Amino acid sequence: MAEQFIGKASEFKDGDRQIVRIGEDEIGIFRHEGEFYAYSNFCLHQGGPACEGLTIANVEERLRPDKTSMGLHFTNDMNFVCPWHGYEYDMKTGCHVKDKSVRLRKYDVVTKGNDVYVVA
Amino acid sequence: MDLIADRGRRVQVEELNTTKLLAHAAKQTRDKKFDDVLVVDVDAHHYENESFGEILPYMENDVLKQLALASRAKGGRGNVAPSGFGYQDMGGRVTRYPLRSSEKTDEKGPHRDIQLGNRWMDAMGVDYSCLFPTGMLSIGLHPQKEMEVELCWAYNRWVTEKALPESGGRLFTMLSLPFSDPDACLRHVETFGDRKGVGGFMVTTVRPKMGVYDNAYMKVYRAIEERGLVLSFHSGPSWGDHTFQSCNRFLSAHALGFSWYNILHCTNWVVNGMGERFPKMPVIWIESGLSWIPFVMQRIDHEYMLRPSECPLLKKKPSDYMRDMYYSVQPMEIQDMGALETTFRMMDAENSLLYASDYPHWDFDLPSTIWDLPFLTDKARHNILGGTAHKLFKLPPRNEAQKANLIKYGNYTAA
Amino acid sequence: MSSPKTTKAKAAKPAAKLVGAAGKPASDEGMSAKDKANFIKAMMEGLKPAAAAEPAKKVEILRKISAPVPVARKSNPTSDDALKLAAALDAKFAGGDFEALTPEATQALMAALCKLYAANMEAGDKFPVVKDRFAVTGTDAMILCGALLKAVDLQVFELGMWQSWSGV
Ligand code: FES
Repeated sequence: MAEQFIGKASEFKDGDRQIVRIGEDEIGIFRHEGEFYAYSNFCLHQGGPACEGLTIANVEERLRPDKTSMGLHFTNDMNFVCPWHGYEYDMKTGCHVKDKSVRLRKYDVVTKGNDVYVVA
Repeated sequence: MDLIADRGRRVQVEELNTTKLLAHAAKQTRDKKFDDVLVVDVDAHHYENESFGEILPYMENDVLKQLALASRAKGGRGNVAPSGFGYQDMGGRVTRYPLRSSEKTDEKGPHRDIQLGNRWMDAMGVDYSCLFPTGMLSIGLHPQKEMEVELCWAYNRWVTEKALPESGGRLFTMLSLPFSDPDACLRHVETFGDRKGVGGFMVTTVRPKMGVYDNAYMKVYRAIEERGLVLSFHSGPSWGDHTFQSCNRFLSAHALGFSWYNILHCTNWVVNGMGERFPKMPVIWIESGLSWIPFVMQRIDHEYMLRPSECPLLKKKPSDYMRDMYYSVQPMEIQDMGALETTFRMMDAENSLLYASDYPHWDFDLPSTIWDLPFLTDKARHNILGGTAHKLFKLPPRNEAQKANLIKYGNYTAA
Repeated sequence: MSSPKTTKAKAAKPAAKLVGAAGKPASDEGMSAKDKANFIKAMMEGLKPAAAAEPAKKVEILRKISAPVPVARKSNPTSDDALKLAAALDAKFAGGDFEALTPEATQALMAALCKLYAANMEAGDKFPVVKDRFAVTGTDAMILCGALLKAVDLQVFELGMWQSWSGV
């Protein structure tokens, strides 16, 4: 494991992403709400490019106290979706939104000044 | 191109390129050496509505043709083919749906659908694909029998005369039958049955009323059997069907619908002794997944023992007739591995299961879904991915390694 | 029915070792516990390429995908006209002229804006109805909301009920 330089922080706007190949690994690096997150780009379903699809807010169904439904709503939590079949992963954890045991390999991201490194 | 995400945000993405999108599939193909294995995909699709401009002129009846062509003229005043409700693209999460039109193909090359087909087949390590339409899978919902006949005729002429000949033999098909009209079905079998690239005929099972056992169809089955062709039943969802109108999510209507229509017609097929009547005609049930198979086997075997007087033609249990037929694998429910293994055992998957991708639809399966199953023997792997289909459709191996594998697992038949 | 030519890409480099039991089938009797464990691990981990031997790895940028942007509507002639009209009305109002528009003109403008705003909200393109807290007074807002509800024969409790049921 070594720190691999992947770019300048100033070139990463919030919401931007990069897909990089480091040796044999393929990694998606997201900048979300100021933080960097890096995950394996190999989806746990059938190996699709997990980090290259749509980023979209999580959907929740709101219930009233009497258990009646208020329908579906977008929340403020952000997910990224594998474009092959739709596995939806939580931006902050890399876990499948419904099954936390399905979790993309996570890589550490280190920033030194304006330089961004992925530990891979 | 822009994709629409939540709250009207736009995500800018590159145009679609199937080869790029499936780069990880190509890696699996290399890593698992699928080149050495004959892989036959018995269910892949194209979007024939994009070629309606070429297809509709093949309609025979001038008045219906004029109606169909006029409905497509600028300003779109009508609907030729039935279309259903649904969100296959999951709100754009499955990006190849919204981006589809952005993909570039070589204008001087073969038909666009062939070029796209070659891209995904090469990436997945598929040697041959059985090409089916998409929208026309709902043709059984057309209220006008004549229109169903005309559209099937036009599509079948177009696909056998224009599209398939440009595929270099890698795409074949089972042609859609206008099942509402048995006489027209027979004419289709007689006209198209011997054409190149035709492996058999397909019945779309999403239909409000259909009796596969009706005497009117026996001549159709006979004609298919005599020609050594395959009969297949392709399922689909129909959210608007009264059965599914109580589903408030597409997931429920889709999950149940795709299995349901094949459950229904397979049950009728078996109980009416069709397996006894046409023992030489291979029958394939397509795109219903696998989990319904043990359910139907248990269920009708059980009632068969209690009510034998209702199925006098059967000489063995209904599940035995089911094992005599074939099933396409996709979408394979890989959730409870034990249940899946039991399913494979109950259906004799080694001899009855056929790999299918269903690409480019949203729930496609790669060949690795079969290859990586831990409980399969090598023979079962090779049979399911292509060996069994090789025997059914007489598709030659594309290299020596494939031929050697076919011979090794006892599947090789000279074309 | 087919041509025997081979076009599939040959392995370009040595195959990466995949975690899992692929290529190592279990016997006919079924899979061993170890194979099962390996398979489940492979399902969980997905395709995991073997670690490269040498520490100096090349970083190759495959793709850059930029941040999603809110729908940015560029200024256009219709909006420019609307802004001019709004400024003119504001100026007249500031000068004490309440009658710059005929009732018919007010009604037409109000209806058009109401429909346009609602359509944007429903399409998910949500922006505040006025620029800030001080664009109109609370009394202005109450008078207009009340009048709009009355115009479509709705009671305030129906508004409350609809907001609660629809989550708007
Ligand atoms: S491979 Fe990612 S969802 Fe299927």
